[in-house]
Amino acid sequence: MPITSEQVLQLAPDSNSAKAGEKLMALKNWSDLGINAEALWGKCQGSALYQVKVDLTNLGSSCSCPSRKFPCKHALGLLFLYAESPVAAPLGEPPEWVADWLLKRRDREEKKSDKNAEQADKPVDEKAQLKRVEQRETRVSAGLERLDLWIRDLVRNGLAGLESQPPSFWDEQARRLVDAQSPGLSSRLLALGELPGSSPDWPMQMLSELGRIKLLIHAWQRIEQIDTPLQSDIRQMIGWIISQEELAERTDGVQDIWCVVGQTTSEEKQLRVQRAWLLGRETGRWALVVQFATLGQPFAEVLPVGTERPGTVVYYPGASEQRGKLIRQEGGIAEVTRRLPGTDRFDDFLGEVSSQFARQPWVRGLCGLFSDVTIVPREKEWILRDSAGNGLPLSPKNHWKLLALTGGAPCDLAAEWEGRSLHPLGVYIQGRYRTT
Amino acid sequence: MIDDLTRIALVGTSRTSGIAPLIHEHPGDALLAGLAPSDPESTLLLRAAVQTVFAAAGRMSEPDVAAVEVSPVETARTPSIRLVGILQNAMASDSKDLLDEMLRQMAAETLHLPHELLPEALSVADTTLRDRLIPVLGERGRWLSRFNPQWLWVHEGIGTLSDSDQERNQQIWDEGTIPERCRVLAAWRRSNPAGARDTLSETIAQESADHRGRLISELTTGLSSDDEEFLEKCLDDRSSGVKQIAAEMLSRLPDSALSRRMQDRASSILTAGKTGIVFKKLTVTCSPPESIDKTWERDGISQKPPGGRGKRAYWAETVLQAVPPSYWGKHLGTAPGALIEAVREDNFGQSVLLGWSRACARFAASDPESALWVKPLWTYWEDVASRVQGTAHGTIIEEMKSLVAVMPASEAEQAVFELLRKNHESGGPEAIALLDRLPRPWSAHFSERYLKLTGSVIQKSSDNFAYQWMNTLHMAARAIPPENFAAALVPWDVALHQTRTSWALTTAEREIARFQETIRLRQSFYEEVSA
Repeated sequence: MPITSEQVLQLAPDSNSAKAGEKLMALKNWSDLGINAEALWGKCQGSALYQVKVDLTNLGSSCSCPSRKFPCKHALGLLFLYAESPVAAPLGEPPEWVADWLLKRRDREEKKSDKNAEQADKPVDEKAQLKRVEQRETRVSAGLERLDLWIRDLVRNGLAGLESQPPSFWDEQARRLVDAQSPGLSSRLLALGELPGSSPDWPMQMLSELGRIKLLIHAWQRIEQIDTPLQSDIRQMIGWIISQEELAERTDGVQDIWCVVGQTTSEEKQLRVQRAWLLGRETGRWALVVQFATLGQPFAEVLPVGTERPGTVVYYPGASEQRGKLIRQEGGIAEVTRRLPGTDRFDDFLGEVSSQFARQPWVRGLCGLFSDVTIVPREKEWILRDSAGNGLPLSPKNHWKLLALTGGAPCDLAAEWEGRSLHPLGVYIQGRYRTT
Repeated sequence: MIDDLTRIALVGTSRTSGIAPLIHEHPGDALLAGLAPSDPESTLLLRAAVQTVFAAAGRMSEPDVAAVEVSPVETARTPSIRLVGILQNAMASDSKDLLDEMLRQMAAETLHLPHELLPEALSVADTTLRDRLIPVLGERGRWLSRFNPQWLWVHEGIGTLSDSDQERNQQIWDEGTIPERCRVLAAWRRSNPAGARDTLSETIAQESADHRGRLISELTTGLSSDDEEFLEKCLDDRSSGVKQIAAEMLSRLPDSALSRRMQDRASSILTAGKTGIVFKKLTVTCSPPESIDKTWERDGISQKPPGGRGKRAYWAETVLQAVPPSYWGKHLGTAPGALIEAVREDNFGQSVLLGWSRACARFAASDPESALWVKPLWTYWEDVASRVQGTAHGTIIEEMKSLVAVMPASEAEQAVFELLRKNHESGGPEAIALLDRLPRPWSAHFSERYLKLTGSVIQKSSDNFAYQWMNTLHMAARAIPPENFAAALVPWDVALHQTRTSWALTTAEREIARFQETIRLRQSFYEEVSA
């Protein structure tokens, strides 16, 4: 499939690797280039002659260089070269070093799914497990009680004082929550620490978020009265992890052609976190795929924006059915070249937002694909307008590139609703889906 | 309302006795009762939570948003996806020459800029690049520029200035820095030369001498005999710098009073006669005055020459450079080559030739008769250059540079190549600078010869000469036309020269790699542009 430089950039583990990769794309650095339907390969002259290969079915790659970054600059260079001059690598049969690698790769993939099946059969020490669960629940309850006290103290003494608090003020509480085995709440609290002074209406945002945390504590204290799916959401928000085995066991997977419409990567404490929004072509369903990787390491799933692949997504248990995992890929990845399913009325989308909040009041971002919308620049803000003439504000940054690309004409735009404004993720214009 | 709650939360519940009176009824209150909060803090927090969720769930869109007018359909061709990447690279590399070439080429191929690059392109501040951008902005670029006041320069050159442009320009003129004000003045000169001159004359007295000079120079845009009266007044300026600038501009107006004054002075300085009884050899004699009066000074000629030179020589030069060389053909009735020969041996011969060369550079473009002097003068300097070395050689090259600039392209290339070829054998690096003055792109023929010469420099020249020569690769990478790309990309073996030091080798290798990288970028650009 054709790949763009933009997509290669998204694969880079950091900006230095991306730069180094771009430098290596010059044809003179390469020999023995080749490509077939499955793979792309070439030899790159570095300190030694490195063998570089890319699995085109999922953009996985490998290189004989000793770099601990992944993908390394050589693999990126090969991908950049392919993006810029798709004909540089002649069609051909893969040499042995490529064929072997591919064979091993396919083997591993098979074994992986076998292993999953095996693990499910393992007998479990139910008694010990139950005890562990009990222990954790006690710790969480105690931790949340302390948090409740702390939050109530905050509003008793007034939020005005928060602006002068040092970061340690928040870190301290966040650490206590980690000790109380509630890492989810812990990072929610850390994010709160960024709020004071960040915008004129930070006190309102702070109060809203504190209120929602209070609501979460409240819910935990009465969790037995709550429906099972929502219980699951609450536990995950506090920090229970859904094991990969548990996910693999689920039988309610959604089979579809999944299009990657948006992706962000951020760094948090030695970890890279990738959030990718996938949209199912047939079902119109959304899945938020969150992946973690240590710095310099690849994410398990390569999800470049503007690509699609047939596969099965399972949702994490809960009422929101938002976070998902691509458990199986059932065909190669391809470029998005057809329109995506979406809504042409904001009111329909806002209705969907309402139902999500009704199911799960802690929902944060929601994604929408808006068909036939136009960009409207105003003096101090940007508006997205649907074909019925209704408008929603775009996020408060400039959207000149989007306006330039669309020329004021209707387009299909994917955007994340952040409660107050739409943050554009990508736009489909003239047969191509691209990031904004 | 959440605002009321926020106010309470900011102060703290301990300082607001009883929060109930401050709180308005909310449809979520029933839900809140179900949560049964136990203390004021919990009540406040849960109320905030309920209202937040209510607000999020009940969000409405803004009705009746006015649509924007859709951009007209592009009439120019749409660039390929690959071209987008190439242009992006060129923009990122910040290489003005490269962008300049690409934009010109795109205009010639009637391509418009890729839409996603428009915001970046419209934010370019360089005026020459802006001129290049205008033809390739396309319908989309012109449409887009209307939404951002900073992009209204797009419409400066098109038709009349809009009111908002005028306002902005006036503001820059009143408050801007000197380069900004010069730019506005030039823009005004393009659309309304007389108006711009009047605006300048209103404020000129309040400007500093340096600024007066720079602003007056901007009148070069659209210069005509209408400007004579104003410029003539500028000759009465206190500053000798301003006088000189005004005088130079007046000299470019062939019928100006200053031109006539200069011609009168010149014809009293230079006289022709015949010597010898049999052959009647032509001689031209230069006799500058022993002293000059106030009228000379008013016309920008200083009493004291700069840099400790002889004042009579300096006066002669200054007067002669203000008179079109064609004048001498008519006045003395002889061809340029003969006149040059006739004055060479004079005491002030060198000054006369300097004056003529500068006059030639100044007038050749507007006066075909004066252009006939370029070649003979070049031949003269070439001859002189071959006899001297060091700093004197450098000065002569400076004169030659200005002559190259007014030669027709093929003549200039021929002339410069010959000089370089000889220099490469004799080793003086000064002439390399002449390459920079050749019009770009170079011709295929010249490029071929340049590349061959480069190959030979790499193999045979001294480290110092080779090092200097390698600097021309940067220029060549941008000047060589597509016909020569293939030849430019063949591998060059820099190690052939047996005695090269290692630093010379590395420099050569690095410069060649850069050169070929640029050529490759241009090569892919040309492939895409014509695809």
